[in-house]
Amino acid sequence: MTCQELLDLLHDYVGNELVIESRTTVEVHISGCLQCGTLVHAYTHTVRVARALPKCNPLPAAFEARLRAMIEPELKDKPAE
Amino acid sequence: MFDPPPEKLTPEIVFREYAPRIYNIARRMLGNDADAEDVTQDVLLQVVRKLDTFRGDSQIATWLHRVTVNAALAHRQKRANRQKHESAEADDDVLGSGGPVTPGKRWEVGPEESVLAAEQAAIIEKAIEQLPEPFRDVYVLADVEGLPNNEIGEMLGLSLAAVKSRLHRARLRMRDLLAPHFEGKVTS
Ligand SMILES: [Zn+2]
Repeated sequence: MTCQELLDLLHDYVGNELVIESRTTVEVHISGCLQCGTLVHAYTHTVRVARALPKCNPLPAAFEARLRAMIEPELKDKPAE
Repeated sequence: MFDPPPEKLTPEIVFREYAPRIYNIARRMLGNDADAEDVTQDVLLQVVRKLDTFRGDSQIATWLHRVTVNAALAHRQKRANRQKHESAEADDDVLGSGGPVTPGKRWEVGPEESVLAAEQAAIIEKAIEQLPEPFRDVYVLADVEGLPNNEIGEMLGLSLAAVKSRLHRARLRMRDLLAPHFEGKVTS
């Protein structure tokens, strides 16, 4: 396996989508190629930090107030059953 | 992803639970506060007015993602037209072919980043803003929101192969953008 071939498989490797044979080939290459080992490490980390970003940072306070005022009529129209 | 709502949906719950999530997706896709606020307002009104049609299960989660993405794309298109700017055409060559890559040094990172330091989160958000839009959309939905590639393809009108390819190149670009901050630094 060449470094370019490894690069082409990286998305599927990190997503656990490779069949076992391809997975093994990738792992053998990584164990013998410092450059690809470093790449895989950084790529994996890139994926992990994105998943760790907060999904619901609070709204900016001024916007939250405006938004609440805007849906206020809807709140009255639809009382909880 | 949007978690299933805990109780019967009311406008108040939608406001509390979902407005921030809608806002965060729109903010990351559009890259500025004002546009994200417009989109959040649009989507929230749509949701509140359609509440009766939801059974309060995970049905709403899929729907919310789709409506938010549609609203963000429409908003971007409107802005592009208004400014007679070059529109957000999906130019797959923007980020090159995905290789060869620069070697780089080994990243020194902690074993677990379930909680990111605020400083790190800011660096990552800034890098996301620098991704070209077609790549940013896929990246935000796949790697930040954690949506499956096939759902993203449906939302953006892309084949599965195109989603994978853009995601892969977005990740490589993110790696480049983050490298100066993570290479050889101990952050744990
Ligand atoms: Zn290699």
